This record gives sequence, C-alpha cells and structure tokens, in this order.
Amino acid sequence: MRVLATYNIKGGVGKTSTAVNLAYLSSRDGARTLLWDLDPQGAASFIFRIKPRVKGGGKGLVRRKFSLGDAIKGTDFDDLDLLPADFSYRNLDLLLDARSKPVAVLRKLLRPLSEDYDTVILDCPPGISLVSESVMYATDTLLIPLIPATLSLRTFDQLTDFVTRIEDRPPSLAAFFSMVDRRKKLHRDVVAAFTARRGDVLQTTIPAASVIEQMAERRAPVPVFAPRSTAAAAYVSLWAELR
Amino acid sequence: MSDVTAYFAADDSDPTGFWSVPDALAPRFSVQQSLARRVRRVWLDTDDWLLHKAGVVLEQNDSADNGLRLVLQHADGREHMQPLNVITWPARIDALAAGHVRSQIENIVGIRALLPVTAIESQHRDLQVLNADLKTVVRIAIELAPGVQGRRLPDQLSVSAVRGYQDQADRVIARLGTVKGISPVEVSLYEQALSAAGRAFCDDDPEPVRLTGSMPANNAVIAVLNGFLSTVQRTLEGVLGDIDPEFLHDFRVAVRRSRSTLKLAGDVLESGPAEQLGRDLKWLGDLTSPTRDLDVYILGLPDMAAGLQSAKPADLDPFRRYLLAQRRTEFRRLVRALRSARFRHALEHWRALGVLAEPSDPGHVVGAGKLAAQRLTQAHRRVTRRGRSIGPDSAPEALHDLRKRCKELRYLLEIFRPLHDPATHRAALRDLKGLQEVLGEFQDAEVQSQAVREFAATMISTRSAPAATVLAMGELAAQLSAHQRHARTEFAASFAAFDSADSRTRFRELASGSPA
Ligand SMILES: Nc1ncnc2c1ncn2[C@@H]1O[C@H](COP(=O)(O)OP(=O)(O)OP(=O)(O)O)[C@@H](O)[C@H]1O
Ligand SMILES: [Mg+2]
Repeated sequence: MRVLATYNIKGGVGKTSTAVNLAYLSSRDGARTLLWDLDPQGAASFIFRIKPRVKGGGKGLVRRKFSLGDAIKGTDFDDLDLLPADFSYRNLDLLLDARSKPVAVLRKLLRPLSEDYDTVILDCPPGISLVSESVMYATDTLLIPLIPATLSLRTFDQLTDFVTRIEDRPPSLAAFFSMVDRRKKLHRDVVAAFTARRGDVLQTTIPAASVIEQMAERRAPVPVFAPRSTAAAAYVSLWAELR
Repeated sequence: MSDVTAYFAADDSDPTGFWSVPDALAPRFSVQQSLARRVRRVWLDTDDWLLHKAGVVLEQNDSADNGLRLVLQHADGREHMQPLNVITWPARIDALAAGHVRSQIENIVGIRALLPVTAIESQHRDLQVLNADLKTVVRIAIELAPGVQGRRLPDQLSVSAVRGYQDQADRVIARLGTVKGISPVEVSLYEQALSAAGRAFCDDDPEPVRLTGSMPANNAVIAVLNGFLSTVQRTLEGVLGDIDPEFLHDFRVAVRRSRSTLKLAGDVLESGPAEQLGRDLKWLGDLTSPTRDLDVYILGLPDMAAGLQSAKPADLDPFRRYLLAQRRTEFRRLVRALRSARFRHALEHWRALGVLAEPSDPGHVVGAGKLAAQRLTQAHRRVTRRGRSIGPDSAPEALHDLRKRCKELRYLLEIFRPLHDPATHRAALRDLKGLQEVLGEFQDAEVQSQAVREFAATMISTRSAPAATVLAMGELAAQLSAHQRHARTEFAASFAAFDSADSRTRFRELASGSPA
C-alpha cells in the first residue's frame, strides 16, 4: 500500500482537484484505491456524490471506536473507494492533541487497510496543523501543488526543511505547478526560474483550464467527462511521473 | 467494491417480471441500464475444492466488452479482478500472470491445479440503482436465459450493495419482493449451475469408509480396501493428465495403505486373491516411485536453493533442468504402464476382491472391533519395543526400521478410526505424528543427500553440469546432512514423548474401546 497526500499551506491551489483525478487514474490502472477526504468542507466527497458524513465523526475515529473500514463508501468507479469527510473534522486538531502520540494517529488508523488497497490518497485541508503534521507521518509521498507566484518558492523551501526533520521515515516530496497559464509571462518566468533553482520539481504542469473548474458541476473526475482535454492529459502525465 | 446480498429468479409462467424493476424502485431510486451482452462464465476450483472450502468463488468471465477476466469473490462479497490471457484449464497457478486475483489465491491453492467446475452462458445486463444525488448505491445484475450444458435455468437477478450502502440495498430488496413474477432464491447462480449439471460442492470428495465394531472383520478390511480403490480410480485421470503432483501423491498413498492393510490384516481375507492383490500393489508402488521422488526434489528445490550459503540459486538451474528431463522420461514410462493390460488386470483383481465377501458367512465371524484391538496392540508393542532399544550409538538402520513400524501403526490408526473415540484418537495420532516427523526427516534427508550426490555424479559423467552447479549441489547435500544430524538429536525426546505413560494409556484405551 502506497500512501500519497496532496498538501499545501495555501488554500485554493488545486489540492482537491489533483487528489480526485489522480485517485481516479490510479483505480483506472487496476490498483485498488482509496481517497480519504480529510477536509471538513468535503469538496472531494461532493464530487463523488457521497454525503460528507462519517458515523461517530472524527471523535469516533481518533478514539478508535469506529474503524476506517466501516466508514468507507464505494464510488461509481471500479476499484475506487472513498472515505468521506465529516463536518466534525474541523476539530480534528483538538482531538489529536488529546492523544498521547498525536502525529502517529493517522498512520495507525491506515495500517489495517494495507491488505485492501494498493494506493491511498489523502486530500488535506490547507494550513499547518497537527492534522497536516500527522499526514506527513502517514504518507510515503507528499504531493505539493504550487501556483506560479514568487511566494510559492519560499513555502516549498520551508516545507522541505520541515519534512527533513521528521524522524524515522520522512515522506518524499513531489511538487508540481498547478493552474499555469502559459500565456502569462509571469507564469512562464516563475516556472522557469523555479525549475532552474530546484531540480526536484516534477516535469508536468497542470494548466489553468475550465474543465477542471467544471468538476464540481459535473461531479466527476476530468478524464471521465473530458477524456480528450489537455487537462486530462496533464493529470495522466502527472500520474505517470508518480507511479 | 460491492457485496452480493440477494438473488431472485423469474417465475417460469411470467418471464416479464424483470421489466417492472425500474418502476418498482421509483421514485426513491432511478435506474440506469446497460446494453445486454453475451457472457460466458467458467467457475474454477481445485480437485479437492480448496477455494470453496476457503469461502471464495473464482470465475473466468468472458464477454465482448470486458474481454477475458478472472473474478474472485470473497465471502464478504468483495470482488477482485484481473485480466486473463487465453488459457486452457486445468492450469496451475504459475500459468497465471501476476495480479490481484493470483496473489490472493496462490496461498489457498498452492501446487494444486485449477479445474473448470461448471460453465454457464447468458445474456447479461447491468442495472445501476441511483439515489437522489444520482450516485450509484446498488448494482443489479440480470442474467437472461442462462444455459448450462443445453439446459435452461430461470432468468436470474442478483442485488449487490455498493460498499457502505447496505441500508439502501435492503430497501431495494424489500421493493423487489413486491414485484410480481419474480421470487427470492437462496442460492447463487454458481450453485444453481452446479446442480443443473448434476453436481454439488465437494461431491467428489471421497466418501468415508463405514465401519462398525460388530461387522465381520473380513468385510471391514474389504470396505477399507474398496475405499482405497475408489481413490485410485478417482485420481487416475489426474495422474495420466499430469494435472498437478497431488494426484500422483494421493494415488500412491492409497496404494501404499492398501498394501499395509493387506500386510497387517489381510489374513482375514481369502488367501489366493489377497496375495495376488499384494503382488499387484507392490508393482504399482515401485512403478510410481521414480516420478514421485522426482516431484519431491523439484518441489523442494526453491526452498533448498534459498538456503544456499555460498552458491547462487541460479547455479542450480542446470540441476533443475536435469530433474525436469528425468521426470519427463519417468512420467512417460509411468503412463505406458498405467495404460497397460497389466494395470487393467490389477484393477479387476482389486474390484473382484471387493465383491467376494458380500454374502458374509456368519459361521466363523471375527468382529472388526476385535481385529482392530488385536492388531493395534501388536503394532504399538512393536514400536515401543524397537524404540526403547535405540540408544545414542545405534545404527541409522535401527531408526529406519522404527520408521516403518511407526507407519504401520499409523495406517492401523487411520483404517480403524471410525471405531474409535474421536478425542482419544486425535491425541494418540498427535503423539505418533511427532515421532514420525523426526524419523521422516532423518531418513528423507539421508536418502535425498545420497540422491543429490548420485545426480551430481551422473551429471558430471554426461557433461551436463558446470562446476558452479556441482558446487551448489555439494552445498545442498551438506544442508541435507545437517538436517539429518538435527533430526538425530531430536529423536530421544520425541520417542520419550510417544512412550510417556499418558500416551501409552491412550493407546490402551483405543484398543479396549473397540467393541468386539
Ligand atoms: N488547474 C486549474 N484550472 C482552473 N481552475 C482550477 C484548477 N485547479 C483548481 N481549480 C479551481 O480552483 C478552485 C480550488 O481548487 P481545489 O479545490 O482543487 O483547490 P484546493 O487546494 O483543494 O482548495 P482548498 O484549499 O479550499 O481545499 C476550484 O474551484 C477548482 O475548480
Ligand atoms: Mg481542497
């Protein structure tokens, strides 16, 4: 079982869009895939037409009264399941804080699923919190969407620094540019300068595209309703780099 | 992932029941239908139903749109799939490409081949049941005009809950219960197809031999021999087809046990036919040994290769090829013999012996219980007497001889099991098995290390072994000798356990508990 998570301190950078499309592409390859919607807003759950409700809420999970397996819902796609968000996840920080080893909680919760899934993708809320920290302890690969602005560079450097301080098994970082408009000179310049400075940015960039915005309306991953779009091709190529 | 939770069948009188399913589910649910497509399914299992016994169902599914796939369904309804290349059944697990299905069944089936159990063809249609958010919550599969070997089964409908939506599935099932022209059925399509083909799960498992303590001893022995005969007949096809190594193994076990039965209790039978069968069985035993021995080496090679210290596992490849070539030769010889008139005659003798005693002669009856008690006591005494005389300096032959006596005791225990108290029987068997394992390891290791040396010598003389292979084989022989030494050091303790007061009491109880 390989665990990936989309993460960025900043909101609205394409974390959910990426998590949803990559989870779909993973399952399309025949890998048994689970998408865990950790954002109390429930954007990923909404796209799959699944109600953002988990029996027992965040409390039930963190205190281990309910297991993750009981809350899992099948999506409309073969080999793709979803663990819905719950409104109570907004208190997840406090709940974790009450545990003796808060950062280890998510990893422990996922362990029993390791026989059932090949790929798990976590969709995180923005911000830095105990939740995001425990995500870092639970994942093999942290996927970081960067928007082409000079500030992104600083955030990425800080995150790299933070992650290297995780003992035992720090996740690998996979940053890529998201919402790129090739017509804008600023975007082209930032992408070029950034890639020159940090060799570890992924090749694929996700373009700013209206089909991606349409996901919320169509309630489906992009390759399902716009298989021939450049956006779909970009997600396919991103997944190929990560696989 | 979804979970099959209910089956329905169309009534013969009204084949239109399925058409009203969408109406019956409205307005809470809406239904989306796929086009009908022709599907052919072949259900697979091992000869001894290992998949069924493990609670899983394996099916080869062939349709125009999905192609050829293997579908594995777990007891909890979860399904796994993997695409399949064209394959002919029976096939062993290593003939399958790596995939989700293979990885889940390889530990269950081991070295046994997958055989087609039954097949069905139907027009298949999928219905997706959607909730108000247009999310699929339940899946319905419809099989129209399913046919098994020219027989038609009623149209079928099965309901599966999408994971996490069992409550919605329960509603759907309740609504379907109100639809005219369809009624719930208890069993899956697989089970229906099986019974339409005149079969049932585990129907070819051997029937237990029925013995009672008061039945005449000769009839008891004949019943036991008939049980073995039916195993020999049942496994023959698998042996000839070389379907998997277990067929030959089971065949040989039946032959060997029959021989022991004759040796240990054959004196209650008419002597002429019994002696003839004894000669036939010896011939069959000798005939099947070379192929089986080679099977044992070939199956054990990966483990032995993994234990190599200095040589590389690949160094053994020429040895493996040599073993496979030898086996091909020996197997051809075996097949010729099993197709010969001599084998046919042997089976005829065996069958004839089975009928002989049907009208039992109440004049001079010894009861089966008495016979069992007497022979068990004798065999047990032989084992303890020989075992006690073995000391740290005894020759290996003394242990080999003890192993044979233990086997005799074991056969008697198994033959007369139906006469014994199950708990005492199990405990006695456990005592004996511990000792047998040590003796078995002691002798097998010796025989095999000897054989590896002989193989090496032959391969050198025929120039089919590079130096690296000979060196690796030397390591194998050393490994085996180490096993043997280890087994020798374990002997004293395992015999002491067998010869403990508790264990002796158990054997006495078994002997006295068999009513005369
Ligand atoms: N490449 C893109 N092109 C155009 N619009 C995009 C793109 N990626 C995301 N969007 C849109 O931007 C908005 C935010 O995207 P998304 O929800 O994926 O980001 P997020 O990082 O998960 O946000 P949040 O931090 O709120 O969880 C959405 O309306 C989405 O449709
Ligand atoms: Mg989001």
